Amino acid sequence: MFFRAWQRLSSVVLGLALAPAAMADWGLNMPQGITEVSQSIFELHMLIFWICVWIGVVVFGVMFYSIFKHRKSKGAVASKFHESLGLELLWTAVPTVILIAMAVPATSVLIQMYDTTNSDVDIKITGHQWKWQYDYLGEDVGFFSNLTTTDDEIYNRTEKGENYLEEVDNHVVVPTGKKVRFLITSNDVIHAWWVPEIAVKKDAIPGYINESWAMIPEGQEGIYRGKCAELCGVQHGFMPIVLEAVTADEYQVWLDDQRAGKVAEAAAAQGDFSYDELMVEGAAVYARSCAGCHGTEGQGMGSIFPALAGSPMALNDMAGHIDIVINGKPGSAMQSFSAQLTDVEIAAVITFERNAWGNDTGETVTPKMIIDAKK
Amino acid sequence: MILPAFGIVSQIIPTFARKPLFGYASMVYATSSIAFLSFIVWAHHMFTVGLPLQAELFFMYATMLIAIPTGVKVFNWVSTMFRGSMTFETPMLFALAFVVLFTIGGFSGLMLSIAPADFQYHDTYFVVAHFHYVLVPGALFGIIAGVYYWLPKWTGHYYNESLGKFHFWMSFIGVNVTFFPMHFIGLAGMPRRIPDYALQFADFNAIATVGAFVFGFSQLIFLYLLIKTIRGGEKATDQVWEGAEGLEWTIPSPAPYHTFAEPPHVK
Amino acid sequence: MTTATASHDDHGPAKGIMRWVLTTNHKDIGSMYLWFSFIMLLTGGVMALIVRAELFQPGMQLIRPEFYNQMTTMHGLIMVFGAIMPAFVGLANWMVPLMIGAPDMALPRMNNWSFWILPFAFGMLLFTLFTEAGAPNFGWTFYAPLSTTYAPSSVTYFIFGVHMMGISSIMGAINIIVTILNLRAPGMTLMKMPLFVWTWFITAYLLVAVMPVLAGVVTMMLMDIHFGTAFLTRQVVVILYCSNTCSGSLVTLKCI
Repeated sequence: MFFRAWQRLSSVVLGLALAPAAMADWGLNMPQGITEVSQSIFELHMLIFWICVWIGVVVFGVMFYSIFKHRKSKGAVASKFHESLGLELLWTAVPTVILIAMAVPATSVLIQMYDTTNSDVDIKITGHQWKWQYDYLGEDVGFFSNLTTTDDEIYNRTEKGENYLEEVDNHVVVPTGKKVRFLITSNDVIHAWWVPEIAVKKDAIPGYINESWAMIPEGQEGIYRGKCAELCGVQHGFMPIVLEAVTADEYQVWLDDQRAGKVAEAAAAQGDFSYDELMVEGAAVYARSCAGCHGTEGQGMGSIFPALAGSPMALNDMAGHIDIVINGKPGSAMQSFSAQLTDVEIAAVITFERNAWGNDTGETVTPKMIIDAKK
Repeated sequence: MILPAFGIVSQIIPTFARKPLFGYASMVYATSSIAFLSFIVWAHHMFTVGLPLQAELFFMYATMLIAIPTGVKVFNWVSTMFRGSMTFETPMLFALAFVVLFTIGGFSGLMLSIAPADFQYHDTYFVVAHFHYVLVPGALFGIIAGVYYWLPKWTGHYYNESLGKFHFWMSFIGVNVTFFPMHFIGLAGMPRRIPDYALQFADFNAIATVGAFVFGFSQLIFLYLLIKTIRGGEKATDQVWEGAEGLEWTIPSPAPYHTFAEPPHVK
Repeated sequence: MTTATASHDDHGPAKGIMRWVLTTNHKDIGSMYLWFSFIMLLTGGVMALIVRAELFQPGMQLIRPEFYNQMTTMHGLIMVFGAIMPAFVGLANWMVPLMIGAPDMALPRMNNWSFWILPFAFGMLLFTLFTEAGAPNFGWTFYAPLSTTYAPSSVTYFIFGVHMMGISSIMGAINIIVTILNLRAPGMTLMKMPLFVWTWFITAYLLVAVMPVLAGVVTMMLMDIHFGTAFLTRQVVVILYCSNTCSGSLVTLKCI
C-alpha cells in the first residue's frame, strides 16, 4: 500500500513538472454536458469566470504594481491622500453594472430550468439509505439501483475497476429526444440526485416532491454517471447514479422487457428452491443490500445497526425476522424491502442470515412463505 | 465572522504602507451593508432544495449584491497601498495574502451566487474550496496577521522576523496547494463529504493532501515562535511599528496589567 | 468601576492558577481566549489531516466511513466555533479597550464567565468521540432528519455544547457592544474609531441577532429526539429548518 502511495506521489510530482501537457486529461473544468440547459449553464459559468479573471487582473495588477514600485526600500515617500468621492462612487457603480449584466442571462437560464411542464416521460426518483429507486409513472415499471463495486475493491484487496464507485446494477434508462421530468423525493433522510452531464441536481427531501427535467438530444445516446450530493449517512459516498440514454424505440423495447421480467419473477417465486440454491442467492443479496449497515460478517455497526450474527431474532424468531425484512422497522434506519427485493431474494437472504456466521439454525425460508407473509 | 478580519487588515495595511486608510467612511458603510445583506441571503445555501422560482431569484440577486461592498473594501485596501511607502514585515505579508486569497474566495463566491450555475457547483469540492479560501486565508490569516501585529505590544518583545517570514511562506504555499486543486475536482464532479471517490479525482486529491500536511505542520513553527517571543527577544518600543497610529501604541510595551485608568483625550 | 478606583497603585495580577480562574482583566481573558482557540485550531487541524490522509488515494485505507463522517463534522464545528470565533473574541478583548481608551471591558465579571463556559462546551463536544455511538456524524450543517431520527445518541451532548457556546458568544457580544457604546475615551467619536473596533461592533450585533436562532434550532432537535415533538419532520418545517440552520450557523459566521 505504501509503495503504491509513493508511486502516486511521484506521478503527481512528475505530472506537475510536465504540466500543462499532463493536465489535459485531468478534468479541470465543469463538463459542458449534453443538454441545452447544461450547455447554457456552462456558458454562464465561463462568462462569470472570465469576468472574475479580468477583475482580478486589474485589481491585483494595481496592487502588485504598488508592491514593487512603492516600497520603502526603493525610497518611495508616502503621499497623504485618503479619499476621493468620485473614485469611490465609480467603483461602486461599475460592479453594479457588471452584476446586472451577469444577472440577466442567469435569470433566463433559471426560468428555463424551472419549466417542467409538457413532459413526455415522468420518472419518480426516491432516495433511500443508500440506494436510488426509480418508478416510471404510468408504465408499471420500477426498480432499485444498487452500487455494484465490491468491498474488496473499496478496501484495496483487489484492483479497482474502471468505473470504481460509479457503477450500479440497474441503470435508469431514458429516451433521447423526449422531455423527461424527474420527480425527486426521499424515504428517509435528505439526499440529492445529481447527474452533471445533464445539469440536474435536486435535493430529495422526505415528504416533499421536487421537480426537475432534462431533454437529451437525439444522437447523444450513451451512459452518464452521477452521484448523491447531500450527506445522507455512512454510505453517502457509495450511492451513485448511472443514467443510460437510448433512442425512443430502444426505450419502448426496454420497457417491455422490464414488464416481462416482472411476470417471470412472480412465476419463479411459485417454484421450489433447495437450501443450497437459497444460500448462494442469499449471500449475493446480503452483500448488495444488507452488508452496508449490518456488516459483511453480520457484525453490525456502532450502536445504531445491530449485529445479526448471534442475534435472538435470527436464531429464534422466524416470523419476526420475515416481518422486519418485508415491512421494515418504523422510526429506524431499517427500511422495508418488500418492493426492493423479489420474493425469491427475500426468502434467500433470510435463509442466509439464519444460517451464516454461526447462526446454524438449519432452517430454510421459501419464497412461498414470503408470499404468504405478505398477504 | 469574517468582518473582524476585515478590521484587522484595515489596521495593518495603513501601518506598513505608512499612509492613512483610504476611504474610512466608505469602509464603515460597506461593513454595515455586508451585515445587513447577510440577513437576507441565507437561502443561497439551498438553491437546490426546490425553492419557488421567485424566491430563488430574490436570493440570487441579494447574494450578488454582497459583491459590491466587498469589492469596495478590496479597492480601498489597494488604494491605501498605492503610492505608499511599503515595508513587508510578517503581519503585512499575511495581510497581503489575505487581500489576494480572500478575493479569490470572493470570486468563487460570486460564481456560486449565480443560481443556475450553482446547480452544478452545489455540494461539490468547489464549495469546499470556496469556503476554505474564505475561512483559512481569509479569517485565519487575518487572525494570524493580527497576532503578529500586536504580539510585541502584548509581550514586550519583537518576534523573530525570519522565523515569522518562514512561517508565512510555508502557510501560504500549504494553503494554496491544499485548496486550489479543490476547485478543479469540484468542477469535475466530486461531491463533498465522501470518504472515497472515483478514480479520475485521484491526482488532485493526492496534491491536496500533501499541501494539507505542509500547512498543518507549519503551524508548529508558529507555536514555537509564540513561545520564544513570550520568553524573550529584542525589546519592543512603545510605538512598535514605525507607521503605527492609534491609542494602543501610546501605552508601554508590554502593556501594563492596567491601562487607561485615566481616560486619554482624543483630539 | 472597580478597576478605575483601584488604580491608586499599578498592582499586578494575583499569583498561581487562581489568577486565571478568577481574573476579570481583559488582557488575561483575551490571552486565554487566544490560547484556547490555538489549541482548538490544532485539534481541528489534526482531524482535517486525518480526513486528508484518508483521501490521499481512492479506496478506504486508514479509517472507516462512519469515523470519516465524525471527523468532517467535528472538524467543521471545532474550527468555526472553537478556533475562529474565540480567536476574534480574544483579539477584541485585548485590543478594543486599548483602541478606544477604556480601562477594561464594561462587564468584566461576565467576561470571565463567557470565557470559562467555552472549555466545558468543547469538553462536552469532544467527549462524544469516546462514547460508544461515536461523535456527531451528520455534517456541521446538521440537516434533519439525519441529525435527529438517524443520529447517534451522542447528539444530545452536541446540542448542549452548542447551547453553551451560544450563551458564551451572546455574552461576549453584549460585552463588546456595551464597552464600545459606553467606555470610549473623551473625543473618540464613533467615526474616529479604528476599523477593527467598527467591524467588531457590527459583528457583535449580528451575533446577538443570530445566536438565539441557532439555539432555537438545536432546541427543536432536542425536543424532537427526546420529547416526541415533530418540529423538524413535517415538510414545511424542514424547509424552514434548513433556513434557520443556514441563517444561524452559516451566514453570520461567514458573513459573506
